Amino acid sequence: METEWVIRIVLFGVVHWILAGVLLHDLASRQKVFGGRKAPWAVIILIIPCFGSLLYLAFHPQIFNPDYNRDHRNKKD
Amino acid sequence: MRQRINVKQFIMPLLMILCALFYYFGELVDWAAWDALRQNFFYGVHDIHRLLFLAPIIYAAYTARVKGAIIATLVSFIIFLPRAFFISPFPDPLLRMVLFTIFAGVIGVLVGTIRNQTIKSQQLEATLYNERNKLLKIMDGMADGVLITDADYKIRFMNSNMVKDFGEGAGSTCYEHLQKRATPCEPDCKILSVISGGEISQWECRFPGGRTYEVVAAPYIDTDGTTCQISIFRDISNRRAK
Repeated sequence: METEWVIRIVLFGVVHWILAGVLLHDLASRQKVFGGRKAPWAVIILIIPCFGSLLYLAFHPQIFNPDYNRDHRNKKD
Repeated sequence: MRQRINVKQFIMPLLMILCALFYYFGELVDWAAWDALRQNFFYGVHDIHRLLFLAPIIYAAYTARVKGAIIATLVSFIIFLPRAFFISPFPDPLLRMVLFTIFAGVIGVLVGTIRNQTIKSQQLEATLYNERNKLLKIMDGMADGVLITDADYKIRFMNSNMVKDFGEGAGSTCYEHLQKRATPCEPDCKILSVISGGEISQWECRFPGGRTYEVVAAPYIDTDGTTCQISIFRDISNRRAK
């Protein structure tokens, strides 16, 4: 295997695992997830490199607006 | 009841999609054969095109802080990968892309950190303001007069008893308002020794109209960090008359 391909695979792996770590942490702390169950999302994030994470982000865009979610929850309480 | 949808949460994915479309616009034009839209700009080195991704990264850092910046940077990196791996005919596409991602990520994390600090200081300021109001409310209900004065002799606060006896004077100097003088009450005034020396002082003070007050003064640090003097005024005119 060429060195360039090794670098590409390593880079892809690094991105996948960092993103997976961040998103799994978010998944664990989230009260409600799309579809109601967390386990399938964890599998998707881990098994499908990068695209699984993108899929999770596409279905949980509220990750980019935590202030609104917190304020909304506080109002409900 | 229908739940209200927060539109703001879709701004970030929308920005990312727009940037991705712009980044691969040349390939999109080729694929759809939109010859009218074929511009050389979309087939050159994509270093400039990548700069557009700073917008969603900084936006994510602003709204979701450091975590948002990291996610947005990594998503941008994933979007860059196909061009770096398979499309770009220019030298070192992977290196240029990695360098840009590191640069954008650092900017995003810095913005997120600054935003974190700003929010923390805003919350702290609000807490401090509430605490000060609570304290002033307690002082307002006291039977004695309470006066807060800074080192420039400016009155910062008078409680209702003090206002009842002397009239509202916040903002004016204590010697002008209380003693009707044009200059500080030297050598009797103890404000400087209280503020700079940190001493608690007690003395009797005569005011125009024949009233006599027992004054107890102590240093007090106001919400803006300025050391002031807090004085408690007890009317002892009747005691003196006897």
